[in-house]
Amino acid sequence: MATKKKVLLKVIILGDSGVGKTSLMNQYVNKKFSNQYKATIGADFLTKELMVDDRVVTMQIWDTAGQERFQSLGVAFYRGADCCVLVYDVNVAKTFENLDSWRDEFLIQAGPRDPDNFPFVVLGNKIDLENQRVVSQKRAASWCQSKGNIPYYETSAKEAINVEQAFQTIARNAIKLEDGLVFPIPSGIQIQPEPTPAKSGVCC
Amino acid sequence: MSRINMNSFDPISVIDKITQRIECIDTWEYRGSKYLFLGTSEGHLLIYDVVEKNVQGKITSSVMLKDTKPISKKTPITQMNVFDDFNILVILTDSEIRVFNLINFSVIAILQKTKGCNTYAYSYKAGEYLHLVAAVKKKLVLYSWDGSDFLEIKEYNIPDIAKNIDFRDNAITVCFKKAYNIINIQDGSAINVEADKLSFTIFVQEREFLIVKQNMAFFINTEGSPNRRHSMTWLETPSAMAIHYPFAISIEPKQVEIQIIPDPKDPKTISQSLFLLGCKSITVKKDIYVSSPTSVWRLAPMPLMEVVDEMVSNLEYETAINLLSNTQENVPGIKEKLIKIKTKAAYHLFSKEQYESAMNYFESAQVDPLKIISLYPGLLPPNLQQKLSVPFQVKDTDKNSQALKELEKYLVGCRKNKMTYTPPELSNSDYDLPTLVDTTLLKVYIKGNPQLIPHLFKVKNYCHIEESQRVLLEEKKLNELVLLYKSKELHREALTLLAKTKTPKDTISYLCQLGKQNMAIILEHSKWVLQKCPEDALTIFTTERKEDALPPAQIIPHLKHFAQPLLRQYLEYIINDPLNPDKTPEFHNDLVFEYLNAILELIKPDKCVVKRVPGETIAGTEPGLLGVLRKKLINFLETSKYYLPEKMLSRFPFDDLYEERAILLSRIGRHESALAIYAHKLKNFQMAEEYCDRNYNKDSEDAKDVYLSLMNVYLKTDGVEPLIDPALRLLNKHYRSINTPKALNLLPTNIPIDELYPFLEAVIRDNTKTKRDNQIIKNLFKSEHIKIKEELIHLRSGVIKITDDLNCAVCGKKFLGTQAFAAQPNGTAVHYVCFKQDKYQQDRFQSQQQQQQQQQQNGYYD
Repeated sequence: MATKKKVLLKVIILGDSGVGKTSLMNQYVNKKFSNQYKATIGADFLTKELMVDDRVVTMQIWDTAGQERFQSLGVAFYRGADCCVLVYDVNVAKTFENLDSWRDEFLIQAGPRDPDNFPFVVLGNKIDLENQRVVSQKRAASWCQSKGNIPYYETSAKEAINVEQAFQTIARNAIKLEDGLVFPIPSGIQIQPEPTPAKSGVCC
Repeated sequence: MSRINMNSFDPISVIDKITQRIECIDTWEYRGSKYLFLGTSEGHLLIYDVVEKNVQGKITSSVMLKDTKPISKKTPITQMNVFDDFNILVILTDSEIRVFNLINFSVIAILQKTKGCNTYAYSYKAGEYLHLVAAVKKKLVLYSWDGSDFLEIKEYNIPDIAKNIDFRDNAITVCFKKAYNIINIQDGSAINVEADKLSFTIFVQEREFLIVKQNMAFFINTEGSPNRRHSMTWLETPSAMAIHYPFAISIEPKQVEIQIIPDPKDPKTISQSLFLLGCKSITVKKDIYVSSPTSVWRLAPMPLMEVVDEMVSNLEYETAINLLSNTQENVPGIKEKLIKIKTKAAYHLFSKEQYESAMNYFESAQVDPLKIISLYPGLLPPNLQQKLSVPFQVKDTDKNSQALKELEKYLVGCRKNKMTYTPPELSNSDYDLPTLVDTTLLKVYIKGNPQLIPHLFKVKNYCHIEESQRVLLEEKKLNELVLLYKSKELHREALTLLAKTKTPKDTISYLCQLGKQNMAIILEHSKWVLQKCPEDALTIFTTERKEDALPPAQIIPHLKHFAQPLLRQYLEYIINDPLNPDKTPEFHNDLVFEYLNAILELIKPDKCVVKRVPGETIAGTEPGLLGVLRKKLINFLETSKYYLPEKMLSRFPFDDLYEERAILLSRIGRHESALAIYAHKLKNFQMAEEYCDRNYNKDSEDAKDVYLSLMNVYLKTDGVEPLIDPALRLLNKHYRSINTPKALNLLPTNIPIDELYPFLEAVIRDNTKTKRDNQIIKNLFKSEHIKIKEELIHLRSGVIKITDDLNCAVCGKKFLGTQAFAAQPNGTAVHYVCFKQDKYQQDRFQSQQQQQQQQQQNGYYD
């Protein structure tokens, strides 16, 4: 029987400068938002524990610099990532168009074993800015679909819209990859689902 | 584990065979002078001057007794420490801790709570803090130095009498006989771990300490769990130990043993034994001294570079690197030396097939990427294989998956760096570093992770075209080759390859991605797909592009030439584009002709199964394609504002397509001709009337007489029976929009007056009504006029008295002499000049407002 060991997930957030990567992470982890813009230098990470299917998971979220002059990260930074979050600003078309190259660049840097099935999640941020939107939900969704059905969320770090849900999906997808590595399940063999243990004093 | 010998310290005897028994030892450095302190069993403190001489680069030292201080009577000094920063001396004797000022040797304090103390430890950071913890029976007492005295901070109960303690940062480790404790002084938490036969505990670094048990030392972290897989093994059981990073110095019965604290990744025992018998105490500050009960030795470190060189010659690169990176000594040339050793280490590890470690060293030594790529001769382009040499025979690195994986990681890292210089080996070749790196990466991908190739070609890359082409062709990776061509903008090559090896759809989707700037290529390579797969091929021209749309002026002739049947669809697409409809008259004309030609083709007599009678069926309701096309044509003729109807008429047949002809005639204002078609060719009076309803406009010279024209068409027929009935119906219904005398003139004289009666009656009634209405209006105006006249007379009859204190309401000045003035309706007077000016300005203001209003209105109706 598989042991329910503690899982550490490495999640990397990428996207153009100013799309709200740091804000999303801060909203999710600290429940805080600031209107002030401060460029991220290099990379920074925060951790958060959460429950995914009765499992305690520690998510290590790496926030990166969108501005090229602050990108000083080595290959080691990308290697071993369990999920990559691509963020764009729904009000700036260019940030959406650049998702392609962020994704390509990530795959090259991370060099995953199965690039076509590596988990990505796309977040269209800043939906709180009414009437300025230029990238339609349809356009974003169809891009995501063309890249192998990447989950897509429209978020607002400012108003805390969809942030929780998005990161829950991120964790779920990341854990799939992790599980795949720890317990490779041969195809064609059915594995009985484990009976869920009676909940007794779940620690937090 | 094998032991590797080293030669890191040289013992120098400084005191030999004194009469007192030495218990403990420490040093003091004060104003450039060095002192050695010995604490003895007899309770004396012996103070020696240390004299150092530099003889040919080697430092020799000797000591001279300077002073003897009696500290206690007959009880030994068990522990003793000098804190140079504060110039204080802490002594444990007679089961209590005493603190001395070293400058005047006065007693600062005797720590009362330490009565019964058997050992103590400290946590000390020069210039910042000094904490002291004393083990007193089953208690720990924590003190903190405030600059002049030790303040008591806290007490902790412990389960047993402590054998030995150590203290670092916030953690105190306590060693008992059969257990050890870790106490966090911040939150007071304690961890108890049971063990057996423990000797002592000592911190190695922050949050990691050693538990010494017989001749083993285990690495434990401050959570109480083992921190490393390995332990350190000593020749004998240590009785005391000191850490002088990266060395651990152990006092053993027959020797002093020095080991390098092993690298966690590659633990090895690298040691040196100094045969100094019966040692007991050690001090490791700047200088290292060890003492036996009767003698003292100084351990002089060998020059660092010598130790390092010794390691290197033993192939102990990692230890050497470890030593160099961790030294606190400031030796010149360390950086260069490190790079040199790392490079050597990297090659050595590479030859041992330890690719990961090798690459790490290559990277950290910043070795030229060219040198690393050369280690994979199988991946080099043929013309470089001879030029680049490898320092040793490499195995088939290009077939070893681990070696390839590490190379991939390394190359990907290289891509992130700016590689601006070109190594001399690459001069006269068509490679520079970025090109070589990317081309090699491509080859690595081909062997190990082909799924990544497309991603490489989608980002900016410097792959060498011919070489990449060669290897991709070799592996038959044609899709990838197309992507390579695309990334290098070699569209012709890509398209030629696609045409040869793939379906028309692939060519089409490739062409869809090219923009206006590649128009020539699009035209050239669309030819064959337009002919082979016309329906899909049209998307080449109709797909939405990021940049500007393709110019229709080039596409239309192209389609006319190579895919005439698609022209109509294309024109419909550009003209009906909701965002940017094309307004070029030429293209609108073209579309009309496209429809027309298609229709004419369909109505050719030999194409029709049933004989067609022109005008019999309502246009657009014919079954099949003909109906569809005519509907479209009529709709287009009616809605498009841009085609040129003058040019059309001659192309339309006279004896068919009447509806279309009528629209064209209407467009050029020939209403009568249009109406004649409805009346005579189509015999559809309703359509004719509707036409008039649509076009009638009483204010337009062209359109005010359309009903009359229709009357004319009905009545003035050449040789055919005039259509009296419809004419009368029209007249009765629309008499208001028809000029009555002209209508009467048109009517044939033989119409009985009876039939005209409703018309005439309506006209007369209408006219009478108009006349009466006008009379009423006239009289209303008249009475209003009189009313206003009366008001004017009334106003003019008013009197204004001009006095000296009366001021003009406009300029505020007085009226002088016979100056002309104006009397205003409200009874005030103003200068005539002011009145004029004021009025002028008001007029101007009003007219401006009116203008603005008009402009706004125009805006709305535009």
